[in-house]
Amino acid sequence: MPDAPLTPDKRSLDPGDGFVPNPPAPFIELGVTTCFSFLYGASEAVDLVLAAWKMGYHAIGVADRNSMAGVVRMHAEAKVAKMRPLIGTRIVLVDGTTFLAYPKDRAAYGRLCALISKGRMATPEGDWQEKGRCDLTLDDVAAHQAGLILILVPAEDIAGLTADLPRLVARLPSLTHVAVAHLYRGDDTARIEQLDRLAGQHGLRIVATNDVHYHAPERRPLQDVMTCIREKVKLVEAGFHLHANAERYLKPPEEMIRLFARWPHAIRQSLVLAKQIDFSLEELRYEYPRDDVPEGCSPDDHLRILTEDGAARRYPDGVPPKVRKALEKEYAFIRERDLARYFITIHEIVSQGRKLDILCQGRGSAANSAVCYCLWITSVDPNQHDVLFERFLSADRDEPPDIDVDFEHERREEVIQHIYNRYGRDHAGLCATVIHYRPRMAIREVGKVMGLSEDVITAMAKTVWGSWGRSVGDMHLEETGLNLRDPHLRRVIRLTDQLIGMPRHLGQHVGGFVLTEHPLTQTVPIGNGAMPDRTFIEWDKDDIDALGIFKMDVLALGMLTCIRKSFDLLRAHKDVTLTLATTPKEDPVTYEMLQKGDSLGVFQVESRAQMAMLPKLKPKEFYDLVIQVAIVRPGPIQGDMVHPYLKRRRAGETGETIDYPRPAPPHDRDELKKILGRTLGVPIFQEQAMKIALVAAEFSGAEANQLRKAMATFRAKGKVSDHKARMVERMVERGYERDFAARCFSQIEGFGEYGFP
Amino acid sequence: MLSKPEAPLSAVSEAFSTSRDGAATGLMLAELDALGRTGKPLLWVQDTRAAQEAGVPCIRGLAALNMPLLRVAARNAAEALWAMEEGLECTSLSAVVGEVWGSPKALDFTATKRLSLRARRSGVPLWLLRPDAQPDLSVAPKRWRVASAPSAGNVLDPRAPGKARWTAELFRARGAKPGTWVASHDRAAHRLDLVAPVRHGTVGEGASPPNRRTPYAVGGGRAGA
Amino acid sequence: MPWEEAAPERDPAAPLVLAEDGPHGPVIHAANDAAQSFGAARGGRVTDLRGLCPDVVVEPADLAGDAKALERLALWSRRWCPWSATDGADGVVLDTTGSDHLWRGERGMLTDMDTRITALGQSVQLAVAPTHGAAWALARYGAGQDMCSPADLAGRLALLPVAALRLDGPTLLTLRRLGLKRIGDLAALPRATLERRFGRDGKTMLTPLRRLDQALGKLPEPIISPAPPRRYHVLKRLPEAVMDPQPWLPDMMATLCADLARDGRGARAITLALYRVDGITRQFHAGTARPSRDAAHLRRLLEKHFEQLDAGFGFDTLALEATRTDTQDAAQTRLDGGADAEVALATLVDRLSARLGAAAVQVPAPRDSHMPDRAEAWAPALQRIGKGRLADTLAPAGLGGGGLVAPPRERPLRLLQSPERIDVLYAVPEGPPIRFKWRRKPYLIRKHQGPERIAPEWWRAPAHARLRDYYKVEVEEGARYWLFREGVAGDGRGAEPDWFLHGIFP
Repeated sequence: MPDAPLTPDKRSLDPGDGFVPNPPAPFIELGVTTCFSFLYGASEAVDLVLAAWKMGYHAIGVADRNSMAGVVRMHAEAKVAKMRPLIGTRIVLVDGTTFLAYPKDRAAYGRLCALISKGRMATPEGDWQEKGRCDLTLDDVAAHQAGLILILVPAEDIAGLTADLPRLVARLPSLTHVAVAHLYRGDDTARIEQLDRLAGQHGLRIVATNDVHYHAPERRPLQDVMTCIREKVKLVEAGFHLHANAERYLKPPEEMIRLFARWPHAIRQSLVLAKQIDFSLEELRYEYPRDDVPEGCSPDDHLRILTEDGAARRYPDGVPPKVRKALEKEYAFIRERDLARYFITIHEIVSQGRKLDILCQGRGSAANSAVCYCLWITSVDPNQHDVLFERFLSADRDEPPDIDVDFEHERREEVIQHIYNRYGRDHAGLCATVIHYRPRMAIREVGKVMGLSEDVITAMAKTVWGSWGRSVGDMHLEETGLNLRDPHLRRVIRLTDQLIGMPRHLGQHVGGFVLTEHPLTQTVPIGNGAMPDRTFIEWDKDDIDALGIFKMDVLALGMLTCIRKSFDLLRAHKDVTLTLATTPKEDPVTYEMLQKGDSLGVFQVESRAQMAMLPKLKPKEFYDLVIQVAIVRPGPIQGDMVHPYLKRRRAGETGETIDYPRPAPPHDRDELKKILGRTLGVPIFQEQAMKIALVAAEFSGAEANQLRKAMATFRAKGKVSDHKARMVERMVERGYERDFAARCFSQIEGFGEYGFP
Repeated sequence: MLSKPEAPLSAVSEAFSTSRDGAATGLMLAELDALGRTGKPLLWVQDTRAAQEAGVPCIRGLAALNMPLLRVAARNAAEALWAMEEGLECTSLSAVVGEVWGSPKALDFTATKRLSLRARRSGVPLWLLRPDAQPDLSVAPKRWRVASAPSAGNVLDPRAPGKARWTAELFRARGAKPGTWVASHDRAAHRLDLVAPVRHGTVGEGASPPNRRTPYAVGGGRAGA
Repeated sequence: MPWEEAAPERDPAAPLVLAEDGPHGPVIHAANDAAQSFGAARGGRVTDLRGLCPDVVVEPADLAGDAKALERLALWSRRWCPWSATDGADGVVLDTTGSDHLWRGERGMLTDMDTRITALGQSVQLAVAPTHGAAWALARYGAGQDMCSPADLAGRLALLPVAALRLDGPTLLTLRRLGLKRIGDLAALPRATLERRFGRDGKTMLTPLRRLDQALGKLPEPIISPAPPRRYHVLKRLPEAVMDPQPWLPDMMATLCADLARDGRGARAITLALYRVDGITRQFHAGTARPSRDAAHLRRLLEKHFEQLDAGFGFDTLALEATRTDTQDAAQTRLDGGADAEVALATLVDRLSARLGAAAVQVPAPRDSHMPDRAEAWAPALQRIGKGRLADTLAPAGLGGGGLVAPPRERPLRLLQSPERIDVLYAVPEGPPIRFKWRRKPYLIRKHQGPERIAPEWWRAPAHARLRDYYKVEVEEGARYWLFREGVAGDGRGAEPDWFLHGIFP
C-alpha cells in the first residue's frame, strides 16, 4: 500500500479555464505576503493570482518573510493565468528592519537564497539555528546585496527613520526605494509625503504597495486568527497584535492610482522596478547534477551503453524481441524528453548501493520501464509483466520522471552519505514537506483563539473522520449536540474551514533528494531541521516537480532489512546462500501458507483485510499476489469488482472462457478480452481502467490524460460529471451495456479517491 | 516632603471657554508641560455636567504628555470643590484640574479663596476649567478667556490641520498686564509659546519680541527633558 | 462572550464531573449523580468516561479553593465545640467531649449539625464515636448519623471494611491480596504477625496495627485544633446611650491600629457598627488603596457618615473591625509625621473614595483595542492601586495590559462620553466631511485629516457592524473635532452611513 498522501489535494488554477494575458497594467503589487509567511499571510497563491488576474494585473510580486517557500506556487499559478511572476523575499532583520528584496538576475537570486540560508542555518553568533527561525543582520544583507533591488519597508512609527536612513543608505548601495502604503492610518498623506521627501533627500524613490496580506478584505478574520495563533493569544486579548482594519488586501490598479494620486511616481516606480527584474524560476529548470557521463559521450549514448550492458546480464540468452522493442521505444522517448542523465544518476546511486551490498528496489512511474530493469534498478521483468509498463510511456509530457528507490532501512544512511560525498552537500539536499492545517488541528487552534472551552473544542475535533478532509464539510459537527446556529460557533466553523489546507510549517521529507548543478544554496534557501545536522530545502516535491529539478526518493524500507537478515540467518544456520535474484520463485509451500491466510508479518499481505482475502483468492502464482494486493483497495471495492472476480476465479474460469462485454460491430469484438484477459474480465488496475477509456470509449490521448489528472483531484474539483458522461455515452454508442459502462467509470472514481496501486 | 521646585508665580489659574472647544484644555496642559509639572499624577476633577458637555480626558490622547491621571467624577460642584481641596493637600500631585460647568452657587468667591489658600500652601497648582461659565468674582490671580484659532499650516498635508493654536485673552492678572496672545504648545521643547497677534497688538507691544513679553514664565529648555 | 451567553443553563440532571490533571490526562475528582450513573468514579480517566457518556460536562476542579472552604467550615464548626480541625481533603473532625449536652445529647447534636450544614447547601455524612479513627470509619462506612458507645466500639469496627482504617492504597492492596476484608479479620490476627508484615516500611504510624489501635482507643490521637485566624476587632460598651459616638472613636481606632501594628498588618477595609438602644444597627464601611494603620486617616474615612447620623435614642455599643487586612511594612509610614509620595497618594484616594464612592475615583484602565470606545476605560482607583507603584498604575504609558504599545495615531484630548450623532454633508461614498451640524449649531470644515479606518472587532461585534472612518477636522472658527462615519455607502451593511462626533482636539 502506498503511503497516504502527505498533503491534501492542492488547489490550483486550471489551464483549461481560459486565461488570457492581461494587457500591461499601470501598477504592479510587489509587497505580497502569502500564506507561506506562516501565520502572517492569509491567502494562497491560487487566490492571490486569480484575484490579480481578474483585476487586470499583468504581473505580480511575491515576497514572503525570509523565505522562498511560496514562490514556486506563485510562479506556477501566475504562469497558468498568463501573468508574470516577480520572485522576491521580504527580508526582516533581527532588529525589525524590513526590506522587500527582488533579485535582478539568476546570480542575484542565488545570493538572496544564500542570504536566507545563512539566517536559517546559523544564528548571528554562528551557532546552530533553531528550526523555523531566520535571524539576519544588516551585515548579512550588505554581504549579499549585489544585484538585488532593496526596498525599505518603513516601520509603523517613522519618527526614527530620519536618523536611520543615512546609515542604511551608506551600507546598502542596492537600497534604491522606500515602500509607501496607504493603509488608512489617518495621517497617510503626511506620512507618505514625509517618506517621499526623506527618500528624495537620500537619493531614493518611493514605490507604492498595499502591504498585501490577503487577496480580499473578507480574509481579515482569518488573518487575525492566524496572528493570534502565531502570538499565542486569544482574540479578545490580542489587541494591538492585530491590524486595525481590513485594508491589506490586493487592490485593483485603479484604486492604487487613486490612493496615490498625489504621488504618481510611486505607482510608476513599480513598473520601473519590474523592468529591472530579469529573473524567472524557469531558469532553474533542467538543473541536473554534475554529470555522471564520461567526457566525449552524449548522455543518451552513455545510457544506451549502460542499459545494453545490463540487458546482456539480464538476458544471457539474448534480449527477447518484446523487450528489445520496448527498449527502443523507451530510448526514443528518453531522448525526446532529455531524461538520459536522470536515469544515469539513479543508476549510479543504485549501483553504489549494490556495491555496498545494500538491498534496494526501485519503483515509481519511470521505474516501470524496460530501461530500469536492464539498469538493474528494478527487478520486474518486462517480458512477463507488460501491463505495468504502459505507465511510463503514456506519462504526460509535463510530468517529471519519477523513480523512488527503497533501501534497507538500517543502511539507508550509508546511501545518503554516498550521495553527499559524491555530489557534495552544496549540491544535494533533502526536500521539505509542507505541513498543512488539517481539520482537527485547525478546529483546535481556531477554537482556542476564539475562546471556546477545551470541552467544546474536543467535542468538535472528535467529529473529524480521519485527518485528510479538505473542509469542515467532512466533519460531522451535528454529532456534538452543539448549537450550530450560534453565531460565534458559526464563525469558528467558517474560519476553521478557511484555515484547513493552509501551510503551517515546513518539515523534512522522508527521503526526497534534490541534486543540482549550481550550489544548492544558490538555488533554494536551506534551513535547519529539528534534529541536529539535518538540513532541508524550502521546497517540497511538488515545487521541485513544477520546476523540473532532479529529484529522487531515497526511501528506507524495513522489509528489505528483514530480507537481508533472513539471508544472513539462512547462511549462518542452514548454509544456504541466497540473493534476491537466486531466491527460488513460485515456491508451492509458500503459496500453501498464503492460501491459508498464514501471512502474519509478510510485506503487503499482512493487513487484516489482506489476510481475510487470501483464503478466498487462494493465490497460486506471483501474478495472483499482484491481483491480491491490488484488489483489496477502495477502488476495486467501490467499483464492485471484487466479487465478480472471485466468483469467476472460483468457477475455474480462465481468460479464454469468459464472456466479455462486447462492442457492436464493426468494432473489434475482442478488444476487452485483450485488456482484461489476465484479470478474468474484471478491471482491477488503474492502467486497465485507462485502457478501457482509450479503447472502449475511444478517448484521445489528451482526453485520457485529462481524465487521469481529474482522477487525482476528483474530490477537490468535482468535475466528474463531464468525464462520466463522455465515457459512458461513448461506450454505449459503441454497443456496450450502459450498466457496465457506468461500473467501469465508478471504478475510475474509486481510484481517484483513494490513490492507486 | 516635596520641595517647591519652579513654583509657579500663581497657584490658581482659571480658564473660560465654551464646552465645545478644547482650547482651554490645550492651554492648561501646555502650561503644565512648560512648567515641568509632569511625571507625577494629575488629579482631574469633573462635575457631571462638565463631563457630559465637554467630554472626559482621552487616555490615549494624554498618553504622550507623560501625565499619570487620577480622575474624580463628582456629582455636583460642591463635591468637585471638596475633591479639589483634598487634592490640593497632596503634594504628590503634579497639579489639580477642576472642571465645573457653568456658574454654580457653590463656586463663589469664598470657595475660590479657600482653593487659592490651599494651593499656595502646598505649592500644587490648580487649574479651574470653566466651560460655559460667566466670569464672576474670583480670587484667581490669572483668568483666561480661551478659544481655538485656526491652526498653523501643515507642511506635509496642506489640507490637514497643523499645530493647534488658541486665542488666549488674559483678562485678569495679578502683577501682570492683561492682554491677548496667540498661544501654541511646542511639545518637543516643552514650551508654551505666546505670540501677540498682529491685528490685536498695540504699537508698543507689537514691537517687542512677543514671548519675552509674556506675563509669566513659560518654561522651555528644561534640563533632561 | 456570545457563545457563553448562548449556552443553555446547566441542567442539574446532566452529567458533570470535576477533573484534575493526572499523569496521563485528566482524571475525575468528583462526579454528580448523573455522571456516577454512567460509572464515573473518583480517580477514573475523563477520556474513558467520555467514551461511556459523550455528553458529560467536564469542569476543572479547584483543589486549593476546596481546601480553603474546608478550613472555613472547620472553623465555623466550632459553634458545636471548641476544638475542630480539617481531616483529609473531605472531612472535618470535632472533639465534642463535654459539648453534646448543649443539644441534649449526641443525637440532638447530630440533628442540629445535619440541619445547619444542609442549610449551607452541602451534603454531609455524620458519625459520633469514642475515637477519631472510629468516627472517621463510621462517617464513611457506617449507616448514616451513626453513634457508637465505647462498649460497642470493637464490635462495630469489626464489621467495617479494612478501608475504614485510613490506610494508603498499597497497604489496602496488600491486605486484599492477603484476603483480609474486614477490620475484624485484621483484629483477629496475632499482633506480632501484623507488626512483622507491615512494620518495616518506615510508615510506622500508618500501619494497619497502629490505625487499629488508634481506632480502638489503644493509642491516643489528639485533635490538633488550629487557632482561629486573628480578628482585628474592638468592642466598646458604653455605660449609657450617647447621641454622638465620635468621641470614643479615636481610642478605639488607636487600639485597632496598635493591634494591627503588632502583627505587622494594615487595614484594607474597616467596618464600624453602631448599636442603637432600640435594637437598630448602623454599619459603615470604608476601604483603603493600600494597607493602613494610620488611626487618624482611617477615622477620617468614616467621617462623612456622622454628618447625617440618626441617633434615635442613642447608641450604647460600638464595634470597630478591620474586615480585610494585609501585611504592611513598618517602613511605609515615616515617623516624622510626613508620608512618602506613595502613601500620600493612597491616602488621597482613600479619602476621595470614602466620600464620593469608590466608583467616582478612577484611574485609566485602557484596553488593548483599536476601537476607541473599547480602548478608553477607567477603573476604580481603590481596586486598581495598592499593587506595585502607584504612579505606574496611574500612568497610561504602556496603554493596556498586553505589553504592546498602541500604533502611533493622533487622538483628541477629550472624548465625549458617547459619540454624538451629527448631520454631515460629504462626498459619497468615501469623501471627507464638508460641513456638519452638532448640538444644533452648523460648522463649516476648513481642514481635514483622514480617514483613519478602524474595522469592527468582528469576533465580538454582530455581523452587520460597520467600520469607522475617523477624521480630524478643523472648523472655520478654529475648533478641532474628531468625527467618524460609521460605514461606507454601499458596503452592504445597512442604509446611508451615520456620522458621529466623538472627541475634541485642543
